[in-house]
Amino acid sequence: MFERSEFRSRRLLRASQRPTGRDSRACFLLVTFLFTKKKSDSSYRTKNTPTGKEENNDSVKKAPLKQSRRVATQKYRNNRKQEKTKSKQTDKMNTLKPKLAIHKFSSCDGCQLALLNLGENLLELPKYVDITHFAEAGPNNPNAKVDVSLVEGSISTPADVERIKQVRENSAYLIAIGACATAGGLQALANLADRDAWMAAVYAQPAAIETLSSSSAISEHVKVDLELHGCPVNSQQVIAALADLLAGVKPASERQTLCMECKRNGAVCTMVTKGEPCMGPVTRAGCGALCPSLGRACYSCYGPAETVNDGALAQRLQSLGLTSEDVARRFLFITSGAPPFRDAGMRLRPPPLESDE
Amino acid sequence: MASKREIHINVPVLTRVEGEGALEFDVVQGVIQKLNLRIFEPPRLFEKFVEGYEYDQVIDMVARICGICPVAYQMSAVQAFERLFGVDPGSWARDMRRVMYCGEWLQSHALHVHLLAAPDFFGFESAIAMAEKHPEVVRRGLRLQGLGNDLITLFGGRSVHPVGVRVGGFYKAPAQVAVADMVKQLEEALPQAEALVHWCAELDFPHDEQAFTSVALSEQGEYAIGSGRLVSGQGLDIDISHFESHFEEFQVPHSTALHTQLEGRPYLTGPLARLNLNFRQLPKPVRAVMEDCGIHFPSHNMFHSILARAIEIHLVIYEALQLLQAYERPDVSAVQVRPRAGTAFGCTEAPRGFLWHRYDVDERGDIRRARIVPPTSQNQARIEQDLCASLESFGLDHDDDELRQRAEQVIRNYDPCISCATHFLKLKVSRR
Repeated sequence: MFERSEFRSRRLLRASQRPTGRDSRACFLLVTFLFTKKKSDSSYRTKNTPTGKEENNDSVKKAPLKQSRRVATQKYRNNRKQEKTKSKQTDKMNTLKPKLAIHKFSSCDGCQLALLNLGENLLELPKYVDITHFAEAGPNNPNAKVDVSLVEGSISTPADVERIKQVRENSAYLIAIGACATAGGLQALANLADRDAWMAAVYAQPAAIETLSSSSAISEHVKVDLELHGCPVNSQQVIAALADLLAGVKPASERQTLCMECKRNGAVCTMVTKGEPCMGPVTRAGCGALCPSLGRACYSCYGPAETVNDGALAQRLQSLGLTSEDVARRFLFITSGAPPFRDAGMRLRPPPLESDE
Repeated sequence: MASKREIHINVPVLTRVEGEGALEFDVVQGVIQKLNLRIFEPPRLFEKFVEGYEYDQVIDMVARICGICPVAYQMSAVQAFERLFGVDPGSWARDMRRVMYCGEWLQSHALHVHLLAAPDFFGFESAIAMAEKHPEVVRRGLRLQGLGNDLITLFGGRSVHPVGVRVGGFYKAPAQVAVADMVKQLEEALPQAEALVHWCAELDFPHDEQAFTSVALSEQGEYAIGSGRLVSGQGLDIDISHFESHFEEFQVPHSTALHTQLEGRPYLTGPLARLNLNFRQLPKPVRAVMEDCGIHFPSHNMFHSILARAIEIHLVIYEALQLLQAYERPDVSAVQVRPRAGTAFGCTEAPRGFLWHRYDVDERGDIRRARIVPPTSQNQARIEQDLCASLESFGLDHDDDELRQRAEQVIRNYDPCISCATHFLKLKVSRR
C-alpha cells in the first residue's frame, strides 16, 4: 500500500510523463477510431478505388425472410465467407491509407525520434499511414508524391534549397517539425557571425564544402502548412497533428506561454521562488513544463510564444543580477533565428569591437 | 574472368543510418582503386557556437549535436567542467549518471540492433517489414528501446535532449516511488536481454576476420562508461588530456566530417572495441551469458558488432538494476560549483564509441574555445579500410545490387551517426 504522499507523487509523476495530457497510445486509439470510420465511408477516395463503391454496396446483407431456418443459415454462412474473402482482397489493394514521408535537412535527427521512439506503437503506425520515405528507418523514395510530409532540419546548402522545393511539390500537406525546421535551429547562430571565418576555423579547406551563408527555417523557402515547435518535438505533438489531419480537422497549434503550462501542471515558479533566470514568460508552451518541474529555469527550447514582451523580461532578468550580455545569450540560444528572439537578443548584445558590416 | 570487369558503384543515399551519407567506389581489373565514404551532412559548426556561452548552457548546446546520443554529449561536457573546477559530485551523482548513461546505451543499441541492423541479416528493407514475419523479435526490441528512453526520462524529463544533468550533480533527484517502478521494469527486462544475446549469437555472421586496433576507455573495477583512461589493443594507455598528442584529425575532400587517426593509422571505437578490451570487467552473470553464446571475444569480425551491442544491452540492464535497487533519495542533488579558468578535458563512452571534448574556459566559466571529437568521425577511416577488405573477400564479381547491400551492411556494423560526425549513405560504384 502507498502512503498518501507517495500516492500523490506517483500521480504527479504520471502526469509529468504526459506532456500534452494525451499519451501516444490514446492518440493511436483515436487514430484507430477515426480510421475505421474513414474506411467505411464509401465516399472517401473512391477515385483511387473504382471498385470500392461497388463492393461497399455489395456487402449490404439482405435479411433472409420467409425461408426455412436451415436454408437461411446456409445462405448467411456463404455470404459471410464471400464477404471475408472480399474484404481480404480489398485490404491487399488498400489504397485508402494516406502516404507519409519524413524528410531530413540539417539537424540532429532528434525530431524523427518522435516517431522512432513510439515504442511498440511504431508498429501500429503502418496500419494507418503508408510510410513511403523515412531513410533512417529504411523506406527510401524521396521523390514520391505523398499526402503528408514531416520535415526536420534547417536549410543550409544550395542543394537543400532545391530539395525542399521538390518536397513541397510532392506533398499535399507539409509540416515543419522542430526548432531547426521552424527557426533555423541552434546552427542559426552562425547567421549572426562571420560564417566564413568559422568555417576556416573548423575545416582546413573550407572551400571544399558548399554551404549557404545562413541556416534558415523551411518557411523562408516554401509554403509550410503547419509548424510544430520544440527542440525536440515530442511524440505526442506529432501524433496529435497526424490524428487531427486523419480526422479531417486543422491541427491545433499552441500559442500560450510556458507560464500558463506551469500553472496548469502545478509546477512551482522558479523565478518567483528561487530567483532563477527563467525564459518561461516569453516561451511557447508544449513541453509539459519540463524544466520548472525539475526546479530549473526554462531555457526556451520551444522558442518564442505568440506574443513576446522581451523588454519586461530583460528588465526582470537584469534585476536578478544578469548583465545585458547574459540576457542576450538567453534570447540568442536554441531559436536565435526566430525574429522576436533575434531582435531582442541583438538589441541587448553589446556592440562588437569591430563592425561586421 | 568476371572479376576483371571494371565497376563503378554509387549509393546516393544510405538508409538505416543516422544522418546523410553516400558511398562511391571504383573497381578496375578486380581491384578496388578508389573508395569514398562521402558524408555530406551540412556542417553545423558546433565548436564555434559554444564560444562565449556559459558552461551550464554548453551542456544543453552540445546535446543538440545528436538526437540519438545527447546524454553522451552532456556527460562528456559535465565531466570536463567538473574536472577543471575541482568539483566532486559525490558517489550518488556518479552512480545515477551511470544509470542514465545505461539508459542511453540501451535505447541506442536496441534501436540499432532491431531497427537498423537486424533487417540486413534477414533480407528485409526495414524493421517494419521485418515485424510482419518476426513480430515478437521486433516488439522485444522496441520494448527494450522504450525502457532505455524511460531510464533517461527518469533523470532528464525527456529522452531526447534531456534537461536533468548539471555541473555538480542533477537538477532534481527522482522520487523513490518512480525508482521503485523502474526497478520492477528492469527486473522484467533482464531475461529478455539474455534472450536477445542468444538470438543475436544465432545470426548467420559472414566470416570476415580483419586486423584492426581497438581503442576504448578503460576503468578500474568496472566496465568503463562515464570515465577512464584511453587504452588500445596495441599498448596505448593515456590520460584523456593527452589525446591530442596521439590522435590526429584531418579533412578529406569527400567528407564534411573530419577523419581521425591514431599514430597515423585508422582504428576502431565502439561496442566491439570496448568488449574486446574490457570484457574481463563484465559482471559475472553478464560474462557467463556471453561465454555461453558460443562466440569468442576478443573478436576481429566486425559483423559481431551486433552481438557486442546485445551483450552491452544485457550489461546496462544488469548495472542499472543493481544501482537502482540500492537507491536512496539524497537531500541535495547537486553540490556548489565555482568556475575556474583553464582547459577542461572530458571523455566518455557514447553508444558508438568514445567522445572526446576540450574546452578553454575563462574565470567566469564562459567558453573561449572548444574542440569535440565524436565517434563516427573517428571510425570513418576504419570504415573505408574495412569496406575495401570485406568487399574484396565477399567477391567483386557479385552484381551491383549485392555489392551495394553488402557495403551497406558493413557500414551499419559501425552504426555511423552522421549527424554526430557533422553529420547517410549513397553508393556510387563505377565499373570501367
